[in-house]
Amino acid sequence: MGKKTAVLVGLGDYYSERATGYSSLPFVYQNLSDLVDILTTYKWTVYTPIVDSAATEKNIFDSAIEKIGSLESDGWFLFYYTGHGALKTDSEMYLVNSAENFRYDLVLPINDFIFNYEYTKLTEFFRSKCPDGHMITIVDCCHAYGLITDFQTQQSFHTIIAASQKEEQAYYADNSFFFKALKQTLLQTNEFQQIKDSIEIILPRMYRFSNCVIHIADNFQNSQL
Amino acid sequence: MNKNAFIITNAVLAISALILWLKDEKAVSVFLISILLLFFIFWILVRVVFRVKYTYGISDIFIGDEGGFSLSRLQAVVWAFIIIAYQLSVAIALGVNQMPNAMYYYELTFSEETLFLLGLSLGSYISVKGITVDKINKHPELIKHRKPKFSDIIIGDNGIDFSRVQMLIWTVIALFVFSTKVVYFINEIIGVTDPSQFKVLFNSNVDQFLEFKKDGNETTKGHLPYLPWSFLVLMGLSQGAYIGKKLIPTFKLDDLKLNKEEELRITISSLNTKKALLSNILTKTAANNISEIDRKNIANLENEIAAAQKKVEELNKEMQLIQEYKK
Repeated sequence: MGKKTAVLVGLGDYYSERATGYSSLPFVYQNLSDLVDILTTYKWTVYTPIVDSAATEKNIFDSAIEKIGSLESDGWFLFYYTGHGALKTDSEMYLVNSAENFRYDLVLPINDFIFNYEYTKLTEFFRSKCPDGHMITIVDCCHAYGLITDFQTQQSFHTIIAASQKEEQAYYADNSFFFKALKQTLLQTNEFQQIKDSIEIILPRMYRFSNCVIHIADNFQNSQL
Repeated sequence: MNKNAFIITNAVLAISALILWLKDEKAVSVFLISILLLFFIFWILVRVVFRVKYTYGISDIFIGDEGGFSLSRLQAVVWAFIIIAYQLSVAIALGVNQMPNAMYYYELTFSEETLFLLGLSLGSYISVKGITVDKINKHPELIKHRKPKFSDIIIGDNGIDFSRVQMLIWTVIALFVFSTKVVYFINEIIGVTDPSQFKVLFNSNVDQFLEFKKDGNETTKGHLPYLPWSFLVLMGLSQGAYIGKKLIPTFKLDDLKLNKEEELRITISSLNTKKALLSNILTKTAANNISEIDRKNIANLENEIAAAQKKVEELNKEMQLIQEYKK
């Protein structure tokens, strides 16, 4: 197993401070802090998360490409996003990241958001750079699985943990129900299969149903985080 | 009203009644005597028959559910009192009448306006009680834990309450006007010389009386005490305004301050948590960063922490201002 590198992105107060019309997600910072602690425990190299106004499309991609570029062929890369997600069309999902002209009273600067097909390019880049590596995408937002659906064929190297189905919202109260379940699980186990089983049991107990999606990459079914 | 005030009031009433009687103003005198008699009956019932213990003297009867003097109670009690006194004075007036067995002609009749007036004041009292009890159930802290003051009847949550003042003024005017009509009625009863006139007197409202007069029926004497309908409508509007205002939530500066303080406290706590979390993240991750992009992300996080700190300081100042204003 090669080097394990994680890039984390979180947008919490950004939405309300910039009058975007999206609600503030104050629990984002807690989630980032918890994940930093957990990944550090599992020997990941976690870079300083990209938070709020710094979380532009360019900065996120530049950071991710730089970290993937520094990996060996068997390197592991984890991308975590927590914030708002939305659908443009049935097949186009985007992460509501920071953008210069992002105001509620203007037309959404949609070209500055990260779409599923753009994220696909990142995974292709990872595939070319790390042919024996493992990419893990954790998306904690509404329509989360929409970021990945167009990319089903590459399940051999890509593990996907999404808070919600493409067509559905991710639910939260004082924190996102998905992250609570994920954290509870990761504190007890780092084996992917157990993580999958555990989240799918815990989440419905916390909320009325589970709409998260977890696909473990074919080549890493018996691996550990 | 304490015991001395009650005695002095009765003494003044008794002396006035005596002077007026001697000056041959028998109708006014009879009305005052009936009020005095009613006070006495009330005292006998409360202190001798039922042995009720007072908290604040006889004025207990005017104290509302919130613990202060209640205008609607005062109004309901005074109207009920005056209307009972009116019937009592009719009975006394029949006794004063020179005709033998005049008491035989006594009839317990009221004009429509009188009944409407009593219904209005009692309805207002019940409505206000309902509103107050509901308010207290939701906010028990509103019960006044101080000695009730007579000024409570015109003082609202935020000082003098115009809806109360106007209702009080109209009530006083209505009481005066109605009392003059009662005195006129008593005067007519005392002066009746033909027994058949009692029947007419006890069953004639003012409209019938005026109709008789128009027809040249000179033997018709007087009519039941009344208040003009236009005045009753005015009383209804006045009471409606008073009750309507009670239904509207009161603007309370103290509550606003408390809410604002609570809001600020929550925001400050949330910003402090954010600061602590981002600082923890920075401590745990800074060593891994080597590139220009990493440094930018570190700088951004530091800016976020500084911005949160600045905001906390601003909010603390705002909190201090609110707390100082409170003093």
